[in-house]
Amino acid sequence: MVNDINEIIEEEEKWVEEKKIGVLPKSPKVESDLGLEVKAVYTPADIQHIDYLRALGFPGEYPFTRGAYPEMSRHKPWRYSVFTGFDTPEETNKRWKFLYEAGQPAFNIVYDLPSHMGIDPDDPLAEGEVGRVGIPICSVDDMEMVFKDLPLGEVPFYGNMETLAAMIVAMYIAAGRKRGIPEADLLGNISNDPLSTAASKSTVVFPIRHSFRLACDLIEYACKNMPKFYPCNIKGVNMSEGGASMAQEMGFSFSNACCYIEECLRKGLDIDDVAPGVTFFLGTTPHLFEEVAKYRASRRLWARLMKEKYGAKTPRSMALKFTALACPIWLQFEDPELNLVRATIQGLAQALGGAQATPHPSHDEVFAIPTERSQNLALGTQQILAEETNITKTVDPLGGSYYVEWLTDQMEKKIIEVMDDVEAHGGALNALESGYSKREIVNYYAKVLKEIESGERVIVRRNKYQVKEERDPWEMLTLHTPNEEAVRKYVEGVKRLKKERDNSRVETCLARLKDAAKGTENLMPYLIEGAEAYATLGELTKVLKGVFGEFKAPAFIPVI
Amino acid sequence: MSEKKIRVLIAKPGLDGHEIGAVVVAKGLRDAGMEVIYTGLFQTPEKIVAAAIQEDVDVIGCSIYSGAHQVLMRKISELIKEKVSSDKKFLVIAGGPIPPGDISKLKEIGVDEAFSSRSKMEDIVKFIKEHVPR
Repeated sequence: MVNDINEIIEEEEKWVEEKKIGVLPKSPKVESDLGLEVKAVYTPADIQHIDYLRALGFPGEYPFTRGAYPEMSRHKPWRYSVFTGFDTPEETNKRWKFLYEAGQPAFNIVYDLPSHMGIDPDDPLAEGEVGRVGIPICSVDDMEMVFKDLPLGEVPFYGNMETLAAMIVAMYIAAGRKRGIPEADLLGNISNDPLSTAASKSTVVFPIRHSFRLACDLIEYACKNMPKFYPCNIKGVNMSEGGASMAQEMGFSFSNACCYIEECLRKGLDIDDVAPGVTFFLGTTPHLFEEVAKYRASRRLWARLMKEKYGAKTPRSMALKFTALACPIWLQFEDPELNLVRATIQGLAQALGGAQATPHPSHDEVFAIPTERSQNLALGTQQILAEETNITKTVDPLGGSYYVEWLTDQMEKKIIEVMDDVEAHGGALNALESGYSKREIVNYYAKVLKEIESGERVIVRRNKYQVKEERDPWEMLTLHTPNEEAVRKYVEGVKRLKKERDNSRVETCLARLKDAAKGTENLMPYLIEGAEAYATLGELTKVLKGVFGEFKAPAFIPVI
Repeated sequence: MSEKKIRVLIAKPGLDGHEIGAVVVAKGLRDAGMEVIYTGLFQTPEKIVAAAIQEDVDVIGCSIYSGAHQVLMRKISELIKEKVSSDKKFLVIAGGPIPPGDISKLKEIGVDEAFSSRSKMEDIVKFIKEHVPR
């Protein structure tokens, strides 16, 4: 060490004094997401306590602060993609083909609301919602259609289903078997995280503990039979989209993840069987350095949890792997092309933070389902970040920044505080059932909205630098219009399927599922059997609702 | 004569779980001195209209983010016509990312006004105070 730390501290104090640092009011006024004051500059003194080898180490080695893998994206970009699902499986398949040819290395599906809730497209409750915010997947027929002429199983399928994940995976397996692809070869992941969903958009379907059981059944099944499939992708991003702070997003995510892991350990699995299958799907806000710190702190904390709390032995169990989504909650209606810029900055944070996969939002998705044009721009943005900027030349390029290392430490502390609060509220399941987690998030976001309203948190064109639009933002873009005719035909097709399939076989499968649900057996084999018999998502859900009951979302008005 | 507080039902019809808009508006109206009842998520039009009648509200505010606003608001309007006696009037408001082109269609089927996430709370409060059926 050339400089003495005490000398640096003395010099800093002098500098603050002489240059009158911190006297002028800050602009923008809003502080960091941690609720901590950020100094004008950071020095070696702020990170003097860091033991490099123990706290940071090398990429791909414990505690993984610097990266999940040794060389990260030096040889191959992270897996970028765009979420795609709209109208019908047939319409979505056309877009998937376009994206596959444009170099997208994954299929990233997004479902409509009836599918999330287990309501068939021909159910009156689904009227007006089929194919609107995503694609309907009702039976194995739909799964086959969406993969028509595409390499099912060989290219990762990101199956973004929360509570009904077990059924979607059953259909993926059934579709694979029809093409002669064994389930052991299927690539991909799925959210399968009703807990994080319970703290956000509430598509929990069954009472929390039953949805949780279904999720654990899938994890157990995949751990034993699907070595290339990640059966639990913890949806921090849902909480982020619901307005959670970064510390809340990670603290609740970890509490929920540990809940699944502990249940699987109770089922007799080894931590080194379960933990590698648990990955994370996290949000990204425009606060670049805080986000990088969040990802770094999360990797370190997760590695420590897995090793110290659960006794994991393999690096695969300890390395936190994550998908990151530039949160559409931070995309704006005003001057929508500016969302291209926002999402690019968020994409940069993901790359610098070491994301494994990045589904990139389109600038028009605050208005409607993205168009082929806007998805092309989103994909291209990721391709530029990955291959034109040279940011992948070295791993964790912000590591060692006095500020980022300080932030990483602070972030870790805040995440632990949230996890401790969850424990104080009886653990993840109790905190979710009582509405504690959701209430905390909603109250935090009410505060953020206040900052936006007052202008403390600047959002260009929304609360500052507004320009008189010559055109209505809704008319500035060529937006996707739902193909109602295609949806109508699709719904007819579902009705036809229900008539023409072997209905006695379906009945048998559903009866067997019902019996199994009453006990404690793993439900996956029954769901696969049902999927192969063309039982629908709605039918499978209805059977389980009959045994489990239905989820009731806590309702409250924020207090702040 | 002391004025009776305006009673508002904030509802989330349909299947979408985007709740922030609804709860923030609920809070804003409560802060403005109104009595607010929030239904929570996943309400059918039948449940919403039944709650409005039972709670004897003046205003029904529906937050819809799924794009299903036409279908859901039509059902709610029809149920109001069917279930509510003609001397009782509700002010019916929709909220969410509703394309401007759809607003006139909503008004044709009995919705009094539509607001978006960019509407100012004070404008929503003002609209309700000026138009609440008394």
